[in-house]
Amino acid sequence: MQPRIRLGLAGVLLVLLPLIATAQTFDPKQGKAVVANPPTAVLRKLTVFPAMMELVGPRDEHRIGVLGEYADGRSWEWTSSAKYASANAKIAEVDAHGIVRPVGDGQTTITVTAAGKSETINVKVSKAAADIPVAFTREIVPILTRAGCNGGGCHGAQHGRGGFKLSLFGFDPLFDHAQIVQSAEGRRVVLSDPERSIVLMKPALLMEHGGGERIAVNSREYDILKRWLGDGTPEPSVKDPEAASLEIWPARRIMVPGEQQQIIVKAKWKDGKVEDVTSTAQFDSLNEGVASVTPAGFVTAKGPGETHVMIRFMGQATVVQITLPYAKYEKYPEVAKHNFIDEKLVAKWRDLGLQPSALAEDDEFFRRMNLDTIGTLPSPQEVRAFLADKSPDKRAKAIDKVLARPEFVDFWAQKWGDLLRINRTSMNERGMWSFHNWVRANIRDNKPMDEMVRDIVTAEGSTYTEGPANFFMTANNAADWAETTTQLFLGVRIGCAKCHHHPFEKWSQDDYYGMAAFFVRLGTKNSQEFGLFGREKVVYLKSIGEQTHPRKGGLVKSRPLDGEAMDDPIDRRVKLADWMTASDNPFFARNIVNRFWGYLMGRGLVEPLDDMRATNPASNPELLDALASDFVKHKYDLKHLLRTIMNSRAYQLASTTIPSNESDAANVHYTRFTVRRLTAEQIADALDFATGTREKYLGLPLGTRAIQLPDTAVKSYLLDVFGRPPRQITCECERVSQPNISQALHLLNGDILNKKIGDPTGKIDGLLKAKQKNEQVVEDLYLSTLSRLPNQDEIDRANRWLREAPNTREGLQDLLWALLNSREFLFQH
Amino acid sequence: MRIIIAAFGFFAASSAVVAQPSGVDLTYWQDIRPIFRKHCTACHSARNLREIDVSGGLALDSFDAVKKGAKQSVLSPGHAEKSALYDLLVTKDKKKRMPLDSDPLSKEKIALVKKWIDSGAKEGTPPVEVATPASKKSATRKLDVAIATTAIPPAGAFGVKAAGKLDLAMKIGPLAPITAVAFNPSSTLLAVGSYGQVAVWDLVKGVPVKVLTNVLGAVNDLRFSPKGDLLAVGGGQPSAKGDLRLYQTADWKLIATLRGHDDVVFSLAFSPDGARLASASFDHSVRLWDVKAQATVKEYHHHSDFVYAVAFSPDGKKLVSASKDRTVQLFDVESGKSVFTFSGMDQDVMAVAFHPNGKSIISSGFEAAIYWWNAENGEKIKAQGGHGVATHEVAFSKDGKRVVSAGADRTIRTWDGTAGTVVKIMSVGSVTYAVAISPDGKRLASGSFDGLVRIWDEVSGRHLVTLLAIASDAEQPDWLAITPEGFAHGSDKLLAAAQWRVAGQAAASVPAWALLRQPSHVAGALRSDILPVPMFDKK
Repeated sequence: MQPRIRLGLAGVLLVLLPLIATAQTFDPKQGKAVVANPPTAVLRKLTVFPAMMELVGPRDEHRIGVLGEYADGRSWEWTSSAKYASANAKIAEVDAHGIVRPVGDGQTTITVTAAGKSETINVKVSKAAADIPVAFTREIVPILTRAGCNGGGCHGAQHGRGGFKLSLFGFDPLFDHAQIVQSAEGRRVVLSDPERSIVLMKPALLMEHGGGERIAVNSREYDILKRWLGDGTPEPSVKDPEAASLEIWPARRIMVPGEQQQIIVKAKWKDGKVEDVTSTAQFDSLNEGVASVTPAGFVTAKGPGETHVMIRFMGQATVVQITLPYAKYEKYPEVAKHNFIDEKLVAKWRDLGLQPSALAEDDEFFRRMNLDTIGTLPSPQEVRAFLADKSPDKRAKAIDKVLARPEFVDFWAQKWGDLLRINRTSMNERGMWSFHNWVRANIRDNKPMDEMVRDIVTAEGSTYTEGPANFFMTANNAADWAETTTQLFLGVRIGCAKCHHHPFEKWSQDDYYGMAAFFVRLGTKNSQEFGLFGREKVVYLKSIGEQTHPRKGGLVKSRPLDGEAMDDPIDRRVKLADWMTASDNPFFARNIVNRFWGYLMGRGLVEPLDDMRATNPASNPELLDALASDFVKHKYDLKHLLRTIMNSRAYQLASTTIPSNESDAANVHYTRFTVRRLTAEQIADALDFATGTREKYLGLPLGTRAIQLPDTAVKSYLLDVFGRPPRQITCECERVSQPNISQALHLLNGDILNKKIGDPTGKIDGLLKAKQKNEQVVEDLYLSTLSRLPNQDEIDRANRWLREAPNTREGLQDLLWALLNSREFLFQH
Repeated sequence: MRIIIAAFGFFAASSAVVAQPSGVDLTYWQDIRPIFRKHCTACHSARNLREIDVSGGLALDSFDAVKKGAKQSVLSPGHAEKSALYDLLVTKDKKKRMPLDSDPLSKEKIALVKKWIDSGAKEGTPPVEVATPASKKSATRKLDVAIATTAIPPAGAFGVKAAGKLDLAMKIGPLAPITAVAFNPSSTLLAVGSYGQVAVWDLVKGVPVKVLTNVLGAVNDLRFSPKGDLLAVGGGQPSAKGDLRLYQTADWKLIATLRGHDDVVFSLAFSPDGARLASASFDHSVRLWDVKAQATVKEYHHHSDFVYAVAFSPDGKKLVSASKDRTVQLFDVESGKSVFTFSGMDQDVMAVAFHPNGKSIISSGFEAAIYWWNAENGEKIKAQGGHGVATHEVAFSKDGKRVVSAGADRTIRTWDGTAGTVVKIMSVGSVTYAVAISPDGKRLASGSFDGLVRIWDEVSGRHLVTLLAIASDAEQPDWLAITPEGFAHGSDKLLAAAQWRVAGQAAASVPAWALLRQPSHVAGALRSDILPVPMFDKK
C-alpha cells in the first residue's frame, strides 16, 4: 500500500510546488500521469559526471550528467534542469542539455549549478579546427547501427533488403564500405554532390524508403554522413581500432515511478581514445514494466521491481541496473541469517522492500532436501525419525547424512550425463557405459569439479577405456567442440559469433575462432586394434593444424575468452584447462555454482542457467560472486557447494507467499522456496516407491531405478512424457518442465499408474496383508507420497471414504490414486 | 444554422494547432504526394506494379497512377467516403488497413486526404524535372587528387632538395567515379561517363572535344551506334527513374530522351544494324527501342532483380542479359521468348558479352570466375579465371581473339578469346567499373572509382595515358591528359592550379611545366610511341 500513498502525495505536491522540476509518466491503470518529485530531504551531495573531459577533433562532444544524493537515501537527476557555463567560450561551449563541444584548442572549465550547489569540470580541447576526415568504422558504422540500417530485419538480413546488404550490426566495416560506395557501380553515393546520394536521401525519406525515416535531415547523423561523402568516402582498414570497453553513467539507480534518468555512454577504443557515444549507442530495457528507455537513452521508471537497461555499442554490451522498490520500510526488520548466502539476499531484499516467507516446516524441508540431493522420497521411517529428532542442528545433520547416501551418485551422475550428452547414439553402447561409469566414479569419489572438467577437456585415447574421451564423440570438428566446451563449462553461448558478432555480447568471430583453435589439432579415428568388431574410436592429437579466420583470412591463435593468446607444443587443451580452472577464471566457478544453485533453488541467479553474459546479469551478482569464491576456496567441492546452499535459510524457507513478497511474482529474489514439478526420473521413482512396485527398464536388471539409467535410449513413455532430455543439444533447456495434457491424462487414466496401484505385490496389498489398522495405513500412504503425516481433517475424510467404499482394497486404491494425482505429490515445494 | 456556425468556429479555432497546407485548394503534388512518399510509395510505386504482392497493382507515385487505380478505381473525386483510397486508411479491419502492418496515419493526415478527395482531387503542378547540373560545386572541401608518374627527378630538380617520385597534385577531389567508357567505331573517339556528365575525347590529339552535362544522374553505360553517328547514354535517378539519351555525334546535340524505365538504365546495346537499341535497367526489365522512331518496341521481363548487362547476338536476333537474380538469360528479340537460362551462380551476375562468332557467351559478376556458355545448346563450357572478387564488365574484341574484363581487384585483364586463359594483367590501382577495347584492337580504356580513365596498349599491356575531365562553369572543361613518364597536356586553368611534387614536396611550377607540358608527347603516347625519359635539370 505504501507506494500508492506516496503517489497520491506526489500529486498534491505537484499542485503546491509547480516550479520544482518534475518528471512524469503515464500509468495505464490509473489513466493519468504518474509524477515523481525530487526528494524533499537535505541534499547531501551533488555528483557531476565526468570529473574531467578531453575533446579531441572538431566533431567530438561530451555530455555532462548531474545527480543529487539526498539524506533520505534517494537520488534525483538534475542534468536537464542544471545551469551550465563555460569559463571560456572560445575553447569550449556547453548547451542547456549539458553537451560540451569544442571551439578552440586549450583548457577551460565548465561550471554546473543545480539544487543550489556548483561543481566544475576541467575541459581540455585539442585539434578543434583540425581537418580530420570522417572515419568509417568509428563514425559511420555506429550511425548505421543506431538507425537500424544493419539490423537483422533490414539490410543486415542474410540477403539484405532491396538489393542493399550490410553486415549484421556492422561487424564487417570493409564489406559495408564496399556495399555503400562501390556496389552497383556507386549507385548509392554521389561523391561530387553528397546530398544527392541515395544512402542519405533514403533514410532521410527524401526518397521512398521501405524502412521509413531513420535519419532526420540535417541532424548530426545526417551531417556526419554528408561530411563523410564529401570527404570522398574514406575507406576503413582492418587495422581500425575496435571499441574495447564501455563506461556507463550512472551504473545503477534506485528510482520511484515517474522518475527519469539520462544514461551517458562512453566508449574506450583500443587506441586509447575515449568518446561519448550516447548519441549512437543502442538502448533496450529488459523489462518494460519496470522501466522504459528511449532510443536516446532516456529512462523512465514505471513500476516496482528490478530491471536492466541493455546498452550496446560497436560489439560491446553492458547494462545499467534500475531498481524500483516494491515497498519502502522506515526500518527494515531484522531477518535471521544462516550463512553468507542469506546475508547477500537480505541486502537485496532491503533495497527492494521485500520480506522473506517463514521457515518451512520440518516435513516439507525434509522431503525437499531428499528430492534435491538424491532424487528420492524419504521413507516413512526416515520422516518419522526426523520429525521426532529434537536437536537444534537436526537439519544440518540430515543434510550431511543425505549427502553421503549412495543415491547421491545415481542422481548427480544422471545430471552430468544430461550435460555431457552421454548417449549411445553418438558414443555407441560401450562408449556410453564407459563415460557413464567414469562420471559415476568421479561423483562417488567427490572429485573436485576442476579436476573432473580438466580430465574431460583434455581427454584422449580409446573411447572404450577412456570414459571422458567420449566427450569428443558428440561432435566432430573444432568449432563444435569449442562451442560445447564454452557453453557447458563456462556458461557462455558463443555460437552466434561463428558467423557474425554476437548481437548482445562482446564476442566476435576472433573470440569464437580463438576458442576453436584449442581443438583444431584434435582428431578422431577408428581404433586399429578393436575398430573392426567393436567400432571403437580413438581421440588423438595431430602434430599440425591451425585455425583460420573465415572473414579476415589468416591464422587465429588459440586464445580463451577475454584472455591472452596461449599455445602448447603438444596439446593446447592443457593450456585451456589451466586457464579454465585457474582460481581467478571469471567464468568457470560462476557457471558451476549458478547451475547448481538453479537446480536446488528452482531458478538460476542467471537465467537461463547457461546463458551468462553482461547483458543477462545475475539477479544478485554479489551472491553469485560470493558463491563462486567460496566454491573456489573449497577446492571446487560439489558436496560443499550443495551443503552450503541447503544450509542457507533461503533454501529452507516456506514456499508460500506472504503479502510483503507476493509482488515478486517470479520469485527472482528467492524470498520463498520456488515451487516446481518433479523431474521425469523423480516422478517415475516416486510412483514406484509410493505403490511399492518396481519398473523394469529394458536391458537393465530389475530394480534399476529411473535415476540410475545411463542414457535416454532406455525406453520409457512416462519419462518421455515428463520431459526427460534426449541429450542431443548442449542446453539446459533440453529438459522440459512445462506441464502438458498427456502428463495429466497419463496420471489420471493411464494404464501404468492403475496397474501399479493394483499390483498384487504392491503397497496396498502389502499393507492389507500386514493387517494394520486403517489409521496406520492412511498414515503410511501419506508418508510415502507426501512425506508427511495427514492432518485430522485428512484422516477423517480418508476414514469416511474407506467406510463408504465397496471394500477396503478399493477404498485404499482410490486414496492412493488421489494422493498420486495431487499437486503436493507431483511438486517440489 | 447556428449549430453549423458553432462547429465551424470550433474547427477554425483548432486549426491553429493543426498544420494546414498553404494553398487554397489541396492538390496531389503539393499536399498529398509528400504524405504518400512517407507512408505509401515505398510499396505503391510504378516500379513495383509488376510485383502484385508488394503493390497490389496500385501505384500512388504520380497523379495519373492514382487516377488509374488498380483493377478498380480507388478514387472518386468529390466523394472521399466512396473512394477506396480513403476507406483503406480508416477501415477498422487491421488486415486491410493501410499502411499495412504499421500504425495508421495521423488524424491530421487522414483529414487532409479526405479533404483533398472531397474537394475534387485536384492535381496541382508536378515538380519540374531538371537534369543534374554536373558542375554544381560541393559544399565540402576539396581533396587532393594525386597522379603518380614513373619519373624520379634527382635531388635539386625544380628546387626540391630531395630525390623522389614525381607526382601531380590537384585540389579537385573527390572525383566522381568513371562508370562507363566506349570507343567509336573508327577508334578515334572515346566517350567517358561519370556522374552527371559525358566527356568525349579525341584520341588522336589527346584533348576533349565535348563535355555533355545535360545528363540525369550517374552515366552507367555509353554506346556508339555501329555507324558512329549516334551516342546512346544510359543513367537515371536511383530508385526513381531511368534516363536514356541519344546524341548525334556530328554536333553533339541531344536528339532524344527515351523514357520508360522506372529505375536507372545500367547497360545498353545497339543491334548490329543500328536500328534497335536495347537497354537493361534496375527496374528488372530490358527494353528494346526503335532508334529512328525513338520509342519502345518491346519490354522483356525475364529477371526478378536488377538487370546489370545486356548484349546483342552478332546476327541481331537474340539478346542476352545478366542480373542480380544470379541468372543470365538468352532470349529471342522478336518473340521475347526465353531460349536458355544460364544459372548455377551463387551471386549477382554483372557482366555479359556475346562472342563475335555467335557461338558462345561469357558472363561474370560477384562470382569470381568468368563463365563460358554455349549459346547453341545452353550448356556451360567452363568457368575459369576472373578477378577473384567482383567483375564489373567483360567485352570481346571485334575479331573475337581477346576478352577484356574490369574488376574490383583494381585490375583489368585480357584473356584469350578461345581458350579463356589469361594474357595480360594491368594494374589500375582503383576499383575498375568500366573497360572497352578499341574496334581496331590496338588499345584498351579503363574507367575506375578514382575518377580517372587510363588508356592501355592492348598488345604490350603498357599504360599509355591517364585522362581526366571535369565540367566547369566556364565554357571549357577542366581537363588533363598525362603520360606515366610525366608528360602532360591540359586546360590552362587546371594546369595553373596543379602542383608538381617531388618526394611529396612542392616543386617549382615554371621549370616543371616547361619540361613536362608536351602535347606532342601525349599524342605520341596515344599512338603507343615509346616516349623519352624527361631530362631533369639538377639545379
